[in-house]
Amino acid sequence: MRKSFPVEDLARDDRFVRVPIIERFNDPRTARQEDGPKGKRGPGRLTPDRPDAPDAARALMHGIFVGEIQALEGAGRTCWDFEVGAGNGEGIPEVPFELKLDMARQCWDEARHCEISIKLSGHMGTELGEFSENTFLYEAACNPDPVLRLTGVNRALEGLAIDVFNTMREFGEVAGDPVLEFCEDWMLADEVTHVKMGSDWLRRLTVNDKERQERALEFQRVVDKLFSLGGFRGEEEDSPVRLARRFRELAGFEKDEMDTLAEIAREAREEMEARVEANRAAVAN
Amino acid sequence: MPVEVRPDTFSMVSFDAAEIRAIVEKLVTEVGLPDDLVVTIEVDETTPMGRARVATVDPVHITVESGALEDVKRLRQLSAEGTIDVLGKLLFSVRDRFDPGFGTPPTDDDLTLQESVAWEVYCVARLGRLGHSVQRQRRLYHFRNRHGFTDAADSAFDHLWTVEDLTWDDIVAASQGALAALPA
Amino acid sequence: MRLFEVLGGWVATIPELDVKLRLGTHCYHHAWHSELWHKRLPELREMNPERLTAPPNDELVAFIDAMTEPEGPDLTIEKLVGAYRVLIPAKIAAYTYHLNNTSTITDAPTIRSLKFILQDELDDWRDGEMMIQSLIQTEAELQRAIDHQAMLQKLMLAAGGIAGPGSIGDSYEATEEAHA
Repeated sequence: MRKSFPVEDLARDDRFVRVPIIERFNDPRTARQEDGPKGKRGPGRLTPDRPDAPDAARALMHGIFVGEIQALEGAGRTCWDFEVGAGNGEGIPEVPFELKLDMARQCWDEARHCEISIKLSGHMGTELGEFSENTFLYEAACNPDPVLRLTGVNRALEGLAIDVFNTMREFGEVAGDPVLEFCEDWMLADEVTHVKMGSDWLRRLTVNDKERQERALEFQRVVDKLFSLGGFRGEEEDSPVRLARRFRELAGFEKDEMDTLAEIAREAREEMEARVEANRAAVAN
Repeated sequence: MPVEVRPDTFSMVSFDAAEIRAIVEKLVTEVGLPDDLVVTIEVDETTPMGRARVATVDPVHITVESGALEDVKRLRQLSAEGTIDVLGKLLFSVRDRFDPGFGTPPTDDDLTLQESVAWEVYCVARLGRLGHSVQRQRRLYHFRNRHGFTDAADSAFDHLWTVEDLTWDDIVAASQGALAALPA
Repeated sequence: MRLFEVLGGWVATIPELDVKLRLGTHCYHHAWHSELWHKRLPELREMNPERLTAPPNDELVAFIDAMTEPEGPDLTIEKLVGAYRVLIPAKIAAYTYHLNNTSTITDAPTIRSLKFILQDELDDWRDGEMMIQSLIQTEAELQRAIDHQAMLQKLMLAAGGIAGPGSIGDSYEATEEAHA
């Protein structure tokens, strides 16, 4: 088996269909938020008073599910792709034995999250593969430098998971759905652990290599921007997913990191809005 | 059968107006609406959102955002099954409005979220009995979100899902019965 | 260690969702086992754990290479047969032999770890066997499983067991000596 597994080869059964994220970015249609007779509608915050809230929750839950599959696959690949060694970034990629143990633990957690997500999908009336899959989560886990891989996945990706699970947990709580609230709360706890793993290994493996540390943090910023998905995650009132500052703090994020992330999210939103306008103008012409 | 789809051609999505028209013509017959009923389906392709509503009943004018008819796994492609689901339940609500025995529900804009979802359950159930795919558990989840995750809500849902020839007052009673069981 | 590494690596290559998830869980089980041994070895005055984690012979390296070789999405049967019909049963046999032959007083920590580990191994063996049986639907698939197991079993035989010759002792030799 190869020591690197490309995203094109990710194995799925035929229920799952992938839509490249570039297709969504190039969609000339505009998703606007507006007031309706039954409350705000549009790509805003996920609250029960939205007329489309149940279906929006279902779609988000399915996105979480395929994300968990990719997180499991990414952690599993990190167990296999690298040999055990000092992990100092010289020569062939190596990682400490203990890092592999943490990745194996993450495999277990993500497999459990997949099972929970499958049960939640049944609860919400969603079929597996009902919605399309984006694979950018796994793509972040393909970095050949294990430090960048962990930073991109465990700090950026799992940090997004904290934001999303917190949003879903709050939605379940306000909607009076005890099953959704309970499940999201338990998964949220695990994600805090995963982020801490990423923070710990970043620190330990780059303690004597500041340049490598900076490359890793820059990769994290790139991934954070991609995962902000044009305003999908942010601190604005109408952001569908809100930055979960309290839980990120528990996971070891510093205040200035979170402030930077909020700024990245704002930039991503502005860029998306500009892209949509350009697409509309191109279609009109 | 005068069914019109606007626009005739689409530029932002890959929908085929003729395909949508054929689906609606078949549904009009299945639902039991008069063959000479004028039906217009107006698709807003500038937005990917999924709202669909009955703007007028006579003639029937339904406005629908392109996301409502879109295949969620194939961006900007039409979903025949999704189109049947969205337009079928709206056409059942139109049939109910034409039925003097059904009663006089408020306009769509004046319905509460709970009333809207309860009526939708009744419409979708009938669509399912015609042989179309309707995702019962999804409708139950919608209903629970508006009426509570309680045994009373599930019981009300079962009633709306299985009983034929309900009136508007029956639907409101089921909805309010479920809501009454919510903790204060 | 190689087992948990390959189970983790296989997750992305396997299209069957139930198998994919189960391998994620088993990956952790075997990682935890390797962690237990990683901690225990220094306690046995073996200050260089790498010496006792090196493969016993080249033949076992050949076995591991062959067992971990399948990658394609159409090779789930081969992957599972290698792990659950060859390697894990060999581990269960070797662990049980060691459990039965070490001192219950002086080597109590090893025995405790062995009991926990054996419980996992037996549970995982059962899971794996159920997955294999669910995947084998045709005679062609059955033959694939048989052929792959036979190939790997010969390599394991050449290696003498997962710890080399003597992995599960040799009761026939001991009997001959006792009656000499």
